[in-house]
Amino acid sequence: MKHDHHSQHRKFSHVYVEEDALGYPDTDRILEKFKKATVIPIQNYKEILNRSKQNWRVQKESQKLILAKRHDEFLYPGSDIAPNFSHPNFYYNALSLNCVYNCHYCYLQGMYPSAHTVVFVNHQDYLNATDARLRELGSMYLCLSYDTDLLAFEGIIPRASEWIEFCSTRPELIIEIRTKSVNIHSFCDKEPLPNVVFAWTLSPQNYIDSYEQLTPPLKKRLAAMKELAERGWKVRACIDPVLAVRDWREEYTGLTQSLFTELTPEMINDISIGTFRMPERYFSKTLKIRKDSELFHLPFHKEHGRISYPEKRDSEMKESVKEAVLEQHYPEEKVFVL
Amino acid sequence: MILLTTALYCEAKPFIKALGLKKDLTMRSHELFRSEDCALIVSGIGKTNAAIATTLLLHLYSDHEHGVVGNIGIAGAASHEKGELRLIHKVREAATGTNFYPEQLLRTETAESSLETFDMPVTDPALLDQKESLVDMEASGFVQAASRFVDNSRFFLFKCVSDNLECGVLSAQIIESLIEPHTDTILRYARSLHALHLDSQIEILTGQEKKLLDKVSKHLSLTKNEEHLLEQAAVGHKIRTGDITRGLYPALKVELESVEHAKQIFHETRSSLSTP
Repeated sequence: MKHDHHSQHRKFSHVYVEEDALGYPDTDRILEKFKKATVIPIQNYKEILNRSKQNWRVQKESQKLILAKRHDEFLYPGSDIAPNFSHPNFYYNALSLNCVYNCHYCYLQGMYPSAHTVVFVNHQDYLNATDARLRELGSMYLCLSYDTDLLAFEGIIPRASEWIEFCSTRPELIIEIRTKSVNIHSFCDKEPLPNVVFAWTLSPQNYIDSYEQLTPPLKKRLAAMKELAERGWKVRACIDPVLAVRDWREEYTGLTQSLFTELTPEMINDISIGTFRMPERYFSKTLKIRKDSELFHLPFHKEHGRISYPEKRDSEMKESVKEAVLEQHYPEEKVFVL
Repeated sequence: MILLTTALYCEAKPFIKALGLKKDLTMRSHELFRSEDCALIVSGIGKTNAAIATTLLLHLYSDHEHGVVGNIGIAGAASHEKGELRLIHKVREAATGTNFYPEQLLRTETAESSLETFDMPVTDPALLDQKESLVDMEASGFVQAASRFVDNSRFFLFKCVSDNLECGVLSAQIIESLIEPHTDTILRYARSLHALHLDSQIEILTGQEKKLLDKVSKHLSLTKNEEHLLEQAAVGHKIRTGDITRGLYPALKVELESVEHAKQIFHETRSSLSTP
């Protein structure tokens, strides 16, 4: 009898805390937010994250939090799959691993064997490493925490705010905060910085409903973009990944119309367009998790260890979305097709 | 399928009774009790025995993809009341210092605890890595064996505090009386976990569709690899269109003239199913 069954634990019912993470103020701050959580001491976050035989989908329904200390790799050179927006010194970092959202096409499913989320609490080490690299290079374009949605986590640990503060005295550092979240209230009253770009991933609402579970609706994302743009912040629209599913042409045309109904071209710093792509090693793992998702049962093309749509389809989609954007009188030089 | 392991018969007895399990007299190496949807094995004391019995049980029921397996028994504790039941969220093997973390998915009234598995009975609390841990002699063997066969969200451990690390032997009757009041709680948890895994399974093709695929595979004398490729194409087609019968039936109607002809039909069928 279903009603007699136990229900599943809520998100972050358990917090695993690495021995090395103890004593950091962020550890205390986060544990303070989850007073009711069961705290389990661990030696190393990989004991949880990298266990063999984990059930990703079941875990996603009852995600746990892992607090850890990062010992190295505070910066990574940007991948050729990700956009660098013409900046020569393109880097990203991993302040957290895994995401609270549940998007079918996300590469994180193939990247980590677990759905649980890791937060690194020794944040100052990231800032120090960034300063050291800045001194070496003179300037840097840094994507904050690709392997999570940082803004969605802002209520738990305000990393985006901390980086904005950091950027305020380092004009040679440009940061991108990529998100689907609408958690912008903490930036609304701050003085906008020219070296901070808020980048929203946008998808047609029908695709959000089908493939981006737990994420805010398109309307709210556009409203958040507009709000920050009006307050002088740089906002970027990322129509990425463009998905080759039913009615894609009409859906993405509709998306660009919605974008320009809400925002004027002047409000949008730039637009990036990219089709679905994933490293092959992640694709095969993701397919096992998402074997019931239409997204993984389409014709694909494999080249240089990367899965994407067949070349003709891929170009056609990029062109179509770009045309839809240009039809809205958006300047071509500000459109980046990946 | 719900599978249980205990070290002792007296720990098993309340479950044998509650589940109406019958002893399998064909099993010589272990005491094994079965019903249609549950089975329980008595391992004997110690982590090696626990690992052997868990392996045997999971091997016997290896075709039950969504089954869950639990280890139940008594444990010592320096700082808990006798008779308390604990759901175990961390198992530390004292001999090696290795830790194991069973996935915690379900809300339960039962308090959680860590547990340390020793090779010998422990009477000195100073030997514990964490003073609030429970102590037993089987859990790490159970976890290591279980995690070879099933994902870590499908096994669980419940321990009932039987002593406060005093020296001495408990009678079978006392052990049974400690476990017995918790039987319903443990079984309800096991059933919930099983239900969760049944609910989360992804079945894209129906039984009839699988039969049809099988028929086509036999008709075309496909190799295992070809069968797999055809099934993948059929799954994709089903997700995109909701139907695979129209894509598969034509292959069945073809009168095959040669092996090459069969391969050609296989490629055509697969290709037609793969086209969006």
